[in-house]
Amino acid sequence: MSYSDLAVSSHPHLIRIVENHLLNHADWRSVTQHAFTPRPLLSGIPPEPVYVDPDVDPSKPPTEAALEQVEWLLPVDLREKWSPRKMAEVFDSLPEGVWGENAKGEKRTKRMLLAVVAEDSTVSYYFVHDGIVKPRQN
Amino acid sequence: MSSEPPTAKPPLPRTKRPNYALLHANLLPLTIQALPPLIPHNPLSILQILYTYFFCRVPCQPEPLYTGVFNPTTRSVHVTDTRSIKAFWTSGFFGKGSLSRSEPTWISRRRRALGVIGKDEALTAEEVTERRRKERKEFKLERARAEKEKIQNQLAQEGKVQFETGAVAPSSENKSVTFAPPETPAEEKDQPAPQVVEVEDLEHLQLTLEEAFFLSYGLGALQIMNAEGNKPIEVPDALSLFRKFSYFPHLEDDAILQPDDVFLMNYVVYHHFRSLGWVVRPGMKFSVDYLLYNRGPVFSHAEFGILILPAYSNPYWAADPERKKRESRPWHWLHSVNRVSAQVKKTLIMVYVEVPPPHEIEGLGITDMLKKYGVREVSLRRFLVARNRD
Repeated sequence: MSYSDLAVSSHPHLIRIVENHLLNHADWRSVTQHAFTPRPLLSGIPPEPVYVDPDVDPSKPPTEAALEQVEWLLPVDLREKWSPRKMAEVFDSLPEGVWGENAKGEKRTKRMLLAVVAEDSTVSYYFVHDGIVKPRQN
Repeated sequence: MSSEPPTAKPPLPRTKRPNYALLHANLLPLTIQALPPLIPHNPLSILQILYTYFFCRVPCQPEPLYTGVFNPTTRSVHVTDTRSIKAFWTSGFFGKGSLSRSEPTWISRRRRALGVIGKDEALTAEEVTERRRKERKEFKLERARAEKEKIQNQLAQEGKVQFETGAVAPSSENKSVTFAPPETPAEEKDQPAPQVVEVEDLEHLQLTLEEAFFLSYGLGALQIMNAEGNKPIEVPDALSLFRKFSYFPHLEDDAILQPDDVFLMNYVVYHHFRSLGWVVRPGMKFSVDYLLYNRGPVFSHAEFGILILPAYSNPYWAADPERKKRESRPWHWLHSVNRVSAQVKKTLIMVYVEVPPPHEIEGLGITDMLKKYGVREVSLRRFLVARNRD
């Protein structure tokens, strides 16, 4: 699936909006831009782990690895139309080998945060996994 | 759900709330002049009214006008000068701080982080929420620990497991940590003395295109500058510009505008509810198009969530199957949106906007064009047979 020239020209703006939001509002560190195709992505480390593995005991403090867990972000516009195919293309562009292990010692499913930018400057983050994962217990 | 709050909960540090009624006394960023009272048995009072009306009128609009700059990259209007930001937020709750939840307060959070202002001084809405969440998290951990201990005790009583003293010891230690007051006075004294640090404000007030158009066309209080910031955009030009930018990616300059552009649909509804005195704010986080506040977000939660649905009932649209198809929505969509709204105690209102055919609005001025649109509201509430008996 191809993007129009106008859509491609808007991608750097979305990246910049989300990067600014992460650094100045959410206090992330090591935020880096990645010029991948079809979509440019961001990676960074949140101040506290944002994803809690359902097999990890929540009463224990997070491990060293969890505190340094790099999260990937895909900045998108609220009015964009998405399809599983478009999402799969983005997952395919993600690098292999950086995904680590889950609490059970298995290879972890790829995940990224969908950073949805709205016109009123709200950025909402949603987890997207490349396949099925065990649901979280509240 | 019926679990009781912990008895030894540390008391919340109560901070005095600002007087919101006084702060937000103005409902719109306009000056409204009251005429002298009419006293029926005093004919001179009529003269006084006429005199004030004709000779002492102050203009409604601010002088000079508030300004904002159209930003094509965020598809919105940015307001950076303090005077305009203050006016738009305090009078009518227009816009959102780009680095805040609603009111632009990033600068005070940053100042606190740098130790320029005190720990409990001028708390922002975000900080209050953060403290509450932290408390809630601690409570949940404590509850989980207590439940686990209860099960362990039960099992030990039944003789199914050997009671291990080692397993209890760390949890009781944990308990003492949780119940200790989070701050002791000694710690407070250790705080760094307030320093004089200049903090650059990285935040701006961001007006959505509908808000900006209402402020400039509807109220005449805002002057929208072009992206370069050197020339004001006239109202008719702003309309066509905003209609093009309501799409993602935005339309080319020579694109043909439709009577059901996203901007027009939204603006008709926005203007409708603003005219009726509601405070209208974007409702993206609640999966609706707009939220309706009675007086404003600082006074109470939004009561209603608005869904904008175009209605193509004009005979012209009968020949347009694609639009007709867009008009009908599936049931599961309605169910999920309604569920989300019910969860946050908001009533869902579906607003149908009657779209006129393109030839009817062609060449009309803005006001005449907007008159061609009709608005119908349908309020929706889920009915639970077992719970709604009364």
